[in-house]
Amino acid sequence: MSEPDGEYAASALRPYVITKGRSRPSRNTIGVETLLIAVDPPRDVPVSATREERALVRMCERLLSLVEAAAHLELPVSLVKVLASDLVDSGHLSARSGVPQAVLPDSQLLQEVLDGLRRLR
Amino acid sequence: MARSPAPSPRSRRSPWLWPTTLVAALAAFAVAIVPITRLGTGVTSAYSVIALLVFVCLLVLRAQHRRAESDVVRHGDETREREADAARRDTRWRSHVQHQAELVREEVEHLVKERLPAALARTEIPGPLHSPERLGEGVTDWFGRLLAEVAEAVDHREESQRLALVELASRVQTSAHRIQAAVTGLADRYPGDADLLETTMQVDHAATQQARHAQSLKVLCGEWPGQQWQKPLAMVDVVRAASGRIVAYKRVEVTGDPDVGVTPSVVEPLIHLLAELLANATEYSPPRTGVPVTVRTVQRGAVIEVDDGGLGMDEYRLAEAREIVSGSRLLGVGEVGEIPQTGFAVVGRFADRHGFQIDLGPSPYGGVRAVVLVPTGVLETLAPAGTTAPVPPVPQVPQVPQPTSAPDATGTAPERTASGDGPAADRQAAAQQPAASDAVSESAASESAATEPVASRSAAPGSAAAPAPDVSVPAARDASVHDASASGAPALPSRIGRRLPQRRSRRDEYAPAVEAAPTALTPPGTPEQAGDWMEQFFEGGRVVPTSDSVPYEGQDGSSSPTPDSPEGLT
Repeated sequence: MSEPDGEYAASALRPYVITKGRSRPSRNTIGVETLLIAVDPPRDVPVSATREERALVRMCERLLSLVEAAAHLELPVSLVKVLASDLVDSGHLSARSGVPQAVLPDSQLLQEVLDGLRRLR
Repeated sequence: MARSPAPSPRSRRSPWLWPTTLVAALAAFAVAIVPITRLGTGVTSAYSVIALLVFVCLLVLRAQHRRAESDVVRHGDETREREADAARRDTRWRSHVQHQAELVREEVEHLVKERLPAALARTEIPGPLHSPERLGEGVTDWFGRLLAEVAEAVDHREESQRLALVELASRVQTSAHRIQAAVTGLADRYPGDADLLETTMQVDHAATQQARHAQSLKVLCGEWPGQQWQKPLAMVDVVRAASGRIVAYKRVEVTGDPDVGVTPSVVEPLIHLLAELLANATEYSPPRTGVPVTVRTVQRGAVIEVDDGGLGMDEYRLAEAREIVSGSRLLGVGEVGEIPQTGFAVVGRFADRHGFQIDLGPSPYGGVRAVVLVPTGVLETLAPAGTTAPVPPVPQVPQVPQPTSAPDATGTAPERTASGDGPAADRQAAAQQPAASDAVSESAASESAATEPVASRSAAPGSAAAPAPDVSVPAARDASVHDASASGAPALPSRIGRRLPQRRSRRDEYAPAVEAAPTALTPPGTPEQAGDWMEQFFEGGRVVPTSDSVPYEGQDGSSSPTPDSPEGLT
């Protein structure tokens, strides 16, 4: 968006409109690293849902972190936090936080890979 | 005065004088003849002759006298005739002058009552009441000159006032936009601070309203918004954007098809127009009630209905408002009196310019319903929300090379976003060979670090993974992002926007990513560093262990392993 008489560059939809003036998410467990995924089976969004909410639900059909969702929506992260926690509240999204330790590779394995790589050099 | 000397010659005439004189002369002659006859015949005859002569002379004198008298009478008559003529002319002249004076008076009255107000109001000046032939050339000319000068003076003053108002309004609007840009940047810089976000929202809201009022003033001065949006906007979002420009934005409740949009050229006019309608609607509704706005598509376009729950308007005011709102009567900045009229006048001007059909009527809610018909020509059907985001599978077609689509502000984007047929492809090839990778990675790292420290680190692991299947969308996104950053946009969206596709691609093509990742990193020197690096790699994108200063990164890093772990899930 370019504006000839100033460096004002933003969306026509101001942040406070998107969240109806709320700056805090309804649940404080949601952070930038929180993973969002649409509930399965998918629930229809209400007709009153905004385009941002629809987009968020849709893009979370595959697991997506909040910060990525914010980037796709081209919205500030803190706003998307508010939107996402609303959708979690309404049961359209579910949030997962963090990565389970069990999934992380074993340090023994890492060491072996590293050794192998060194040998290659 | 003409008649008074006339009788005098007659009155002075003595009709008995001449007979008396003649009789007296005859008598004297007769009386004298007796003694004279005694003196002799000679004397008698002499006397007789003399007497006869005298008598004749007397007769002649009398005749001359009579002629003179008749002359006097004739001259007197002539004089009287002339005097009467002069009097007639005098009367005629007087009536003519009186008539002229009456005409001029009427003309002046017409001038003051009709023509001068028209000249002052800059409407069409009615013609003179009387023709120049009847009134006299001079008078008409002078009146014409007077009116022309008045009109010119009015014009001049109005134009200078208009320019001054437009200039001041522009400055106010610009400063409001600066405030908005500043607070937007602030909120982006401290994403975790909810209090700060709330404050920036309040400031943003106030500045947005300020900008709207300034723009209203400009519109009333006949100037049009310079601001143009680049993308079409959904009608429901137009309504929401409009609600953001009024005080009670939380009371606006919009419903309607979320995928009907309007072309960019009418986004700003429509937002402003609706903001004015919403401002009236919220102002005249009970304070704690919502203001329902409905967007619906109709045969001839799309209709936006704004209802208020106020008391409505009486017939006269409603008729007047309808005339103003529909644009059939354009009000200037000097003609708007009360507050509602300001809004209506602005609405009417936009309606007139952009061909929106706007009408007011009684609302079933008791107040006024405003109906805006947006013609089909400016409507667009938008892709359903969320489908533009690169989440669903995207065709593998490589996008047009980045540098041609958008001037690159940072110098790093082309490498990162271009698909396999650009420098990134070379990089990709080079990344396969450790020897070449060093140089490339260092240059890439320094390049990106120089421009955007935060972005570079988060983007680095992905930069080598550029030849992802869904590169096309990120490339397009980057184009817009660069436009934004070139015009001073906040850097956050661009940051994330650039980083995203890479992660996605890594999920899809995991193996190249693993090999390529080191290219953008500091290559491990010692085994310990290599171990650190490897650990971090598996933990996520936290690539430079020493720079945890940015909170964003650490959090982001922990989210990054997600492609690894949920591979099985998705």
